[in-house]
Amino acid sequence: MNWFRKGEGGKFLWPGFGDNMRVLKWIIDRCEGSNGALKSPIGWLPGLHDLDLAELDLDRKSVDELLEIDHEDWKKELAEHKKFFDSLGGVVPQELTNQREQLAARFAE
Amino acid sequence: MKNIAPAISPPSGIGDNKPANHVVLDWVHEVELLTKPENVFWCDGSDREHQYLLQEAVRQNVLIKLNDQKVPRSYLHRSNPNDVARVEQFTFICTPSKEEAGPTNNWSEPAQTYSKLHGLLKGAMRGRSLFVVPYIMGPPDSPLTKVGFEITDSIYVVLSMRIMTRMGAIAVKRLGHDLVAEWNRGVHSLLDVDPARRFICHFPQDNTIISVGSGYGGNVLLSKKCLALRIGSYLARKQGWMAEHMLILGVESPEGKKHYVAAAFPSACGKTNFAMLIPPKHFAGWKVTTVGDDIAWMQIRDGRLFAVNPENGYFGVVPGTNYKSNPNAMKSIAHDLLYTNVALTDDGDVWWEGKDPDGSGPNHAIDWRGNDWTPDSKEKAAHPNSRFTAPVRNNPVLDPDFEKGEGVPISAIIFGGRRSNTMPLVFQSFDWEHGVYLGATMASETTAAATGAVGQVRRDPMAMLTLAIISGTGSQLENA
Repeated sequence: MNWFRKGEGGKFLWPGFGDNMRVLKWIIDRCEGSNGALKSPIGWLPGLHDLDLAELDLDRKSVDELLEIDHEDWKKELAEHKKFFDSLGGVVPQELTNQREQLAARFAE
Repeated sequence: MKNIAPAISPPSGIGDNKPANHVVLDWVHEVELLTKPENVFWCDGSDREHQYLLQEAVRQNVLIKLNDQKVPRSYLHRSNPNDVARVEQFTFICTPSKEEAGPTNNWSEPAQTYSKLHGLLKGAMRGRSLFVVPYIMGPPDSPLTKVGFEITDSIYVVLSMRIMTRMGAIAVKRLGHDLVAEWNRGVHSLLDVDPARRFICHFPQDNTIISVGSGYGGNVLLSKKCLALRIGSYLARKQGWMAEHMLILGVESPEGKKHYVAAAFPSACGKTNFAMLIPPKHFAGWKVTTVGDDIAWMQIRDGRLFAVNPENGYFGVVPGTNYKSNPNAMKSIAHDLLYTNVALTDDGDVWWEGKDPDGSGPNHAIDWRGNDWTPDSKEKAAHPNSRFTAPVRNNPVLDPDFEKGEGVPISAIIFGGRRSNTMPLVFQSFDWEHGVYLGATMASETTAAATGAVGQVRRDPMAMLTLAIISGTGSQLENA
C-alpha cells in the first residue's frame, strides 16, 4: 500500500493516519473473503464501493487518482524492476523473472 | 584521543554482578585487554543500577533531566551533529566471500576488517568504563529468542538498551553455564565520534558485531538493525525462520474477531503510526493493537505463519508526532523515556516541529545542537531524524499477546512505500509468488532516516535492502 500518492500541486491525496483503518479493513475483509475487488494488470484493486469511505471528506476525483494505474508510469516502473534485478547479478530466482514477464504481458493485453 | 566518556566509579553492589559463564568472561577479558578501560561495569538491569546510571549520565551531561511535571522521569540526549543517522556507506558485512554478503550490502574481508577494527579499538577505552550489557531479543519463552552481550563505553547506549531490550539478569540466567550456547557478541566504542573512523561491521559466521565511531541509535544499539535484522536474517536462513523489517498489529472487529497483519515499510514511512492506529469514529468498536513497530521474527508452524516482536521498546522518529497524527505514540512518549536530538524549551519540556497540530510552538528553545532557537531561526529546532526511545509498556494499545512465546498468527503481509506516483493506495497480489514479487520490487522515496540523498525512488526489497545478509538477496526472495 501507498499512503503517499500525490495529486495536482503535490498535495497528498490520502488523509492517512487513523483513516488508514479503511484500507486495513479492506485487507481484513479480503482475508475473510467478504469483500470485492477488481482485476487489474498489477493485482486485485478495490472497486469504488469496496473501500469504506463513509464520513470521509474525499472527492471522487481523488479516489480515482488514488486507485489509478497509469500505463505510462508502469512502463517506467517495469523498466526499473528489470534494471534492479539486473543490478543484483545472477541471484534473482527464475520465479521472479517470470513474474515480471507476466506483469508486462498483462499490461500488453 | 579526547575522553568524551569518563569512567564512573560505582559504589559496591552496583556494576559488579559478574556472570558465571566462562566463555562470556573470557571474551570480555579479551576486549578489556585490547581497549584498556579503567574499569568494567557488569549490568544486571536492576532499578538501583538504572537510577545510578541516570544520575551519572546527567552528571556527565550525556543526559539532560526534563521537567518532571512535563515529562516525568525522562531525559534528553544530544548526539554529535556529525552523528544523527544510520550510516549505510560505513556498514559492512564481513563474510568470507563477497557473494555471501549479498548484492545489496557493502562487503569487507573478515580478517583485514578485524585487524583494522582492533587497531582502532586498541586503548580506545582508556579512562573510560567498559559496560557489559546482557540482553535477550524475543519474549522470554519463545523458541526464536536470542541472547546477546553488548560491550560499550557509552552510558547512553546502556540506558537505551535497557529500554529497547529485555536487559540484564534475564539474559545471564538464560545463558547459564552453557559454554557452547549461541549468543551474539557486540562490541561498541564511541572512539572520538569522528565520521572518518566510523564503521559498523557484521561478522555473521562469528555471530559478532563491531561498531566504532558513532553514538547514534541504529549504529550503536546493536540489538536492533545489527542483530535482529542483519545477523538475524543470516541465522534465520540457517535455522528455518525469517527476520523481517515489519511491524505487527492486531485488528479486532466489534464482534471480537481478531486478525494480525505484518507490514514491511522502509524506515520513516509511518510504521510506528500504523502500528498504533486509532480507527476513525465511523469504525466504532474496531480496535487496533501493537505487537511491534519495526521488527518481526517469523516462523511457519503447522502451516501457519507466526510472528514475535523481538524488541522491548520503540525507537521512533519524533518530528510530526502529535495528538492528531498519533495519540498513542504521544502517550507512549509522555513519561519514562529518552529523547534524542529534539529541542528543549525554557520550562524543561521537549519540543519538535509538528508537535502542535495548529502550528504553534515556543517563542524560545534550545535546539538539538544546543543553540538558542526562536521561530525566526533558519535551523530546525529538532533534527528531522530526532528520536524517542520508549518502553513498549508505555503504549496504551500494546497487544495482550505481545509476550506470547509462540507469537501471533499472521493473516496478511503488507508491503508499502513512499511513492508520490505510480502505486495505488492498495492492491492485492494474485498469489503467494506474485506477493513475493511485490515485496522484491518495492521501492520508496528516500528520507532522512538513513543518510544519503532525500526524495529519490530507491528499490528496497522487503524493506531489507541494507538490513539483510544472505548469500544473495535471491535466497531471501526464494525463502520469503
